[in-house]
Amino acid sequence: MTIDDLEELYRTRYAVFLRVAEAIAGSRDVAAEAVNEGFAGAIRARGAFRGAGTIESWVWSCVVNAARSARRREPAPSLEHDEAHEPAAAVANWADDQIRSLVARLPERQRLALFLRYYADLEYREIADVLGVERGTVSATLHKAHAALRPHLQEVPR
Amino acid sequence: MTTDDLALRNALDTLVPLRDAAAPDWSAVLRRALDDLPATAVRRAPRRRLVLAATLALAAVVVAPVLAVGATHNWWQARSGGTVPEPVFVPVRGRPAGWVKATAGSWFVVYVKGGQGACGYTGASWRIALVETATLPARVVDDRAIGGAMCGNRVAWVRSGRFSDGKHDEVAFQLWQTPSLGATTYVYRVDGNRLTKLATFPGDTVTLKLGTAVVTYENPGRSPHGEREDTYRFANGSYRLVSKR
Repeated sequence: MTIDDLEELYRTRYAVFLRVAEAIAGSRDVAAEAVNEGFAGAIRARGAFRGAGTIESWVWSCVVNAARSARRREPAPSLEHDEAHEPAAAVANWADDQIRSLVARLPERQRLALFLRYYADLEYREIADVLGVERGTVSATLHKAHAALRPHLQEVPR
Repeated sequence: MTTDDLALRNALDTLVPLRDAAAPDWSAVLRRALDDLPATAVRRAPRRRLVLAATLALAAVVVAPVLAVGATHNWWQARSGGTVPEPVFVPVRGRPAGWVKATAGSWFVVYVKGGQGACGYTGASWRIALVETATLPARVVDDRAIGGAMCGNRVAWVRSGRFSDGKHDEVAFQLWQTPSLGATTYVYRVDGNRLTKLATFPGDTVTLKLGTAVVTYENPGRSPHGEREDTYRFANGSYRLVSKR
């Protein structure tokens, strides 16, 4: 793996990395920092990449960890219900806030698996590499997340 | 994709919409990465050049005498043509005599510790170390003694590969006691952060191939039973002598 490989991945998939990082970190600015930090970490540690899994899934693990660290440093209310909304906007965004609240209440692994699956379109095998679990665990984790969200999704008026 | 998948995808789309991202800034990534790398590996920003120059000047003052003494004592006799890599030179507390990149994130080093006298080996001991470089700074994660050193010793070669069963990272090196005493070849497996000895082969030349080790002797007087060649095969976790001729 060369720095050029990482640069190409960064340039072609930046928006997706940013989206997942924002979902984890809760803020666009923090997410941008986290994506850069994740790729910087990948450059520094590229000698440790042993070819298990794809380069992309390895970089994803760097970015996800950077976003999680950023969220710990700067806790954001992103996925929780934001009481500071203007009343009119809060009414208009009631459905979105419901979803935020539901997703925020999921265990972290389920949230990460959801973000990687639906925002990054990663395969189960790749998600397993990123999260450091077996493929079957990813399947079970997503199943639990679906089960937790499904009844509420049907109630959420769109 | 199921209806549930679509509903969930739609719901998540509202949570963090896919917006036009700000232009990716690769130069910011590089700056961040290079700021944390060792000085030898990076292009420093101009404002740091003065500090770097001062550091180099100080290093020259300290290192030059060490190199001079080392040259006098022939410390680098085994690899006199090469420069000791920084991950080997810095963390190992001794005089590296042979080294090889063991895995993607580690170096294997054969080195001499202590010693004095004309050749620098009197009272010294041969040691081996595994230096982990996956995370900086490099650090020794395994270090063990091989035996006492004496004048005339020489590391003939150091290699890395998958010699035994083809599945594990391994390292091997040959240490000459003296021309009259002959040499010993050591094979170690790199097991995570540990070195595990697989075999030692006394003999003048040792050829390691996948699953076999062929040991030859310059004359029958140097072998245990008067043979010129021994062949060992790796099976069930160890090398076994399968033929002598």
